[in-house]
Amino acid sequence: MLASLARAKNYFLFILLSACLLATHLATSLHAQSSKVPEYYIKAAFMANFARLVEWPKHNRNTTNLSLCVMDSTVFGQALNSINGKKIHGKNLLVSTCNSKTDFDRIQILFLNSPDIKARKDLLARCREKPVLTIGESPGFAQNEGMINFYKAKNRIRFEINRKRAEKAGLKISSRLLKLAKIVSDSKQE
Amino acid sequence: MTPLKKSLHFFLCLLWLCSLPTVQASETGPDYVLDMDIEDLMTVEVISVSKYGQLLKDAPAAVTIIDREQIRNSGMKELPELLRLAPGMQVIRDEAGNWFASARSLFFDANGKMLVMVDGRSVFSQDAGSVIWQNQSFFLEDIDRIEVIRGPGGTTWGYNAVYGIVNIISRPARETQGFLADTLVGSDGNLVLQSRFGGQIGENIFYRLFLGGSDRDQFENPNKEPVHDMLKKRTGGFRVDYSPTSATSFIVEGAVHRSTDDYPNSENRHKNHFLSTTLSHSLTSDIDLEFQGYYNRSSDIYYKTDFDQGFAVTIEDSTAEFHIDWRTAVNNRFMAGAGLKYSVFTPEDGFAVDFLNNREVWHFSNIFLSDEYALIPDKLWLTAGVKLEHNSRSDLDWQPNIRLLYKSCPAQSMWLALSRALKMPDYRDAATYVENYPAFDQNTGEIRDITVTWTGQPLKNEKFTAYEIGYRAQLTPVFSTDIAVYYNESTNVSSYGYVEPSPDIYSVFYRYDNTSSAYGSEISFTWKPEGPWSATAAYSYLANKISYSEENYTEKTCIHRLQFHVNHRISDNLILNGHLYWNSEESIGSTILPEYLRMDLGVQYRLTDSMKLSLTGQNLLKKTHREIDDSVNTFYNTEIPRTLLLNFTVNL
Repeated sequence: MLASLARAKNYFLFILLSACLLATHLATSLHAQSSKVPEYYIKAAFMANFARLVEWPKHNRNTTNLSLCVMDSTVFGQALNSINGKKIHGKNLLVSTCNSKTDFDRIQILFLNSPDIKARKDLLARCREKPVLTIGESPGFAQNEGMINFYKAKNRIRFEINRKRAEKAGLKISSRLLKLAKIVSDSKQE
Repeated sequence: MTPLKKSLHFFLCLLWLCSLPTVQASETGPDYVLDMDIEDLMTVEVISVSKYGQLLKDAPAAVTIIDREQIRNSGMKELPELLRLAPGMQVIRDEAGNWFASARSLFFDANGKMLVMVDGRSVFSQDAGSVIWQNQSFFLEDIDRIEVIRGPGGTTWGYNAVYGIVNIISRPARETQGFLADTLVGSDGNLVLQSRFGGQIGENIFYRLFLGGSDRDQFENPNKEPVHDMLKKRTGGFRVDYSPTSATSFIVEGAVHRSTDDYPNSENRHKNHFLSTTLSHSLTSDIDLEFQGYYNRSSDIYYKTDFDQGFAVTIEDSTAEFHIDWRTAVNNRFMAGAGLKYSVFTPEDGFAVDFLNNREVWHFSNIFLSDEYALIPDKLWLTAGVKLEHNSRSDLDWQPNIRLLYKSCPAQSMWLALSRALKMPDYRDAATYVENYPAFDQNTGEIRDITVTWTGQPLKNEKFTAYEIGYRAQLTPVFSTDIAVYYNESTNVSSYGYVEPSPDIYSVFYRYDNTSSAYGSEISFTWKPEGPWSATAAYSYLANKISYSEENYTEKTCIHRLQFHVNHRISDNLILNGHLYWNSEESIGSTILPEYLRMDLGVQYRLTDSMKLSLTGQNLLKKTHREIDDSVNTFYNTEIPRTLLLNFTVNL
C-alpha cells in the first residue's frame, strides 16, 4: 500500500538531504554567486564589446594593442583583470589606470568613472581631437561630455551613444551596437 | 504516513538547515559574463556591489530558466523540444509536428495537468485538456526566456497547474528592433520562414510586426508507410510597448495562427487569434499593479473531406486578471489577485458525433492571496498563500501552499514546499455527446457500427498534494548544483467506466475514485570555468503508482532520464555544442515509450554583424527511432529520422 512507498520515500529523502549537507561541508570555499551580476562586471563586459564593435581610424591604430584606460579601477573587483589581454580582432585589450603621465595618443578607450566633474573635464580636454572612445556613467555625460554613457533601467545596464561626437572624432560605430543603444545628441547647438 | 509525521520531518529538515555553515562572500565574480554576446548582456540583471535581495534563482520552487543563450546553444528549433533542457520534463515526439510535454508525470497522465503560458496568456486547450503544440508557432529569436517550474503552482496560476508550469516570455519590443529574417531547412522535410520588423514611434513607443510559416512533410512508420502527419502553419502578429514613464508600461499583443495537415482525404484544421493587453504600473516604489485582459478564439475542424464538412469545435475565451505586489515592510511582501474568465464552448455536430448542447458557457472566477515574510532577514523566508477558484460546473475549491526558503549564505539555499492543486475536467469531459462509428471486432473479424454515449457526469476536480524539497548552491567558483526531491499524491483521479445496455451500444461515464502517488528527484550540475568551455549534466527519476479502485489493480512504473550538454566557444564568431539525452523505457498497458539514446551536435557561426548561420545534427546515433509505440494500433508508430537542420538569420 502507500505506507511502504512512503517509508521508502522518507529514507530516500533523508539520504539525499545528508548528501547535500555533506557536499556543503566539504566544499572548501563558497563564493558569492547569483543570477544577478555585480554592476562593474557587466560594464567591463560591455566595454570589451564596444572595443569589438567600434572602428578606429587607420592612422591611429595601435597595431598590437587596444588600450582601455579607466579613472577608478577599484570598483571593478576582478573584472578588469579578466578582460585584460582579451583578444579583439587579433589585438590585445590592455587595461590600465589613467594618471597624469598617460599618453592619450596611445589610448583607444577612456572610461571616466569619477564623480569629480573637473577631473573628467581635464581628461576630456586632453583627448579632444583624438580618436578616443570616451565612456561615462553620469547623467548627461553623452549629451555634454563624451560619447557613450551607461545608465540603469529596471536593474539592467543600458547605454546612450552620442553618434555625432564619435564620428567627429573619426570613430565608426557598428550598426549592431547602435541598434542596442539610445541615441542622443549634444544638448547645446553646434 | 500522517500529515503530522510529515510536518515533523520537515521541522527536522529545518533544524539541519540551521546547522549549515555560513561562509563569507568573496570578491570573485561571474567571469562568464565577459564572454557573453552584447545582446545578451542587455538582459542581465545587476546588483550594486554588496546588496543581495531575493534572486529568482532563490525562488522556493524547482525552477529552470532556459535563456536565450541556452536556446541558441541547444540547436533546437521547436519550442517543445527546448523543454527537454529542463530536468524532470518529459517530452515525447509522437508525430512530425506534435509533442506531449509534462513535468514529473507519465505521458498518459499529463493531460490537463501542465499549464503553459505565453506572456501571461494560457495556451492550454480546454477542449482537448492539454496543450496542442502543433497549434502553436514560436519565433525563438524573439523569446527572452522560458521558465519551467516543476511542481504545482495552483496558488499562483490556478486550475491545471498540477505537475508544472511553463512560462514563455517574449522579448520587449524595444529589444527587437530592425528587420530580421530567419530561414530553417531540415532534412526531415521541414521548411520554416519567419520575418520580423521592429520600429519606434517617438520616444516611448516600440513595436514589432511578425509573419511566418512552416511546412512539414509527413514521417513514416516502421513499415515505411507515411503516417499522414504533415503540417502547414502560418502565423502573423504584432506587439506594441508603450512606456510613458518609468513607472508605467502598456503592452498590446495580437496574432493570428492557422495550422492544417492538408491531408487530401481527411484534413484537420486549426485556427486561432488573440488580442491581449497588459497594463503595469508602479504606484509607489513598493507597490506594483498589473492588469491583463485578453481575448482568444480557437476553432478546430476535424476530418474535413470533400464530402463532409467534418466536425468543428470553437472556444472563445475572454479573460481579465489583476495582480498587486506590495512590499508592505522591509521583510514582508504581500501579493493578491483576482481573475474572471468567460468561455464559450461551441462543438458542432458532425458526421459521427452529436452533442447534446451545441453551446456551453463556462464562467470562472478566482482570487488569490499570498504573503512572503522574512523570518530572519536575508536568510529565512516563509511564503503562504491560497487561491480560491470557482467554475460554473464544479464547487468552489481552494489551492493553498506554504513554502520556506533558507539561505545559509548568498551562495546556497534550501527550500521546502507543501502545496495543493486541482485539475478541473476539460470541456469535452463535461459535455454529453453521442458517437457513431464503425469498429473492428477482433474476435469475429467483422466491422460493426457502434454507438457510444459520453455523459459528462459526475464532474469533479482531481486533487493533488505535493511535498517538495530543494537545494541550490554555487559549490565552487565554477561548479553549481540544483537538486529537487518530491512526493506527490493524487485523489479523485479520473478514469472511464462503461456499461453496455444493448449490443453495440455503450454508455461511458467518469469515475473519480482512483488514487495515484509518485516520488522522484531532479539533480543537475553546471560547470562554467573561465575560458571557452562549459557543461551541464542532469538526471531525473520518477516512480509512479496508480491504483484503480474498481478493478482493484495497481500499476507501478519508474523512469530515468539523463542528459549532458557541452559548449565550446572557439572564437567570438564560432561556437560548437554537443548534447546527449537518454530516456529509459516506460510502458503503460499497450503503449510503450521505448528506451533511447539521442545525440545532437551543433555549430553556430556568426558570418558578419548582421548574419549568422547554424547547422545542427539531431538524433545522430540512429537512422530512425521511435519515442512512442502503440503495440495494438501500430500504423501511427512514427519513426523520427536522423535530421540535419540549417538555419540562417539576417538581422538588419
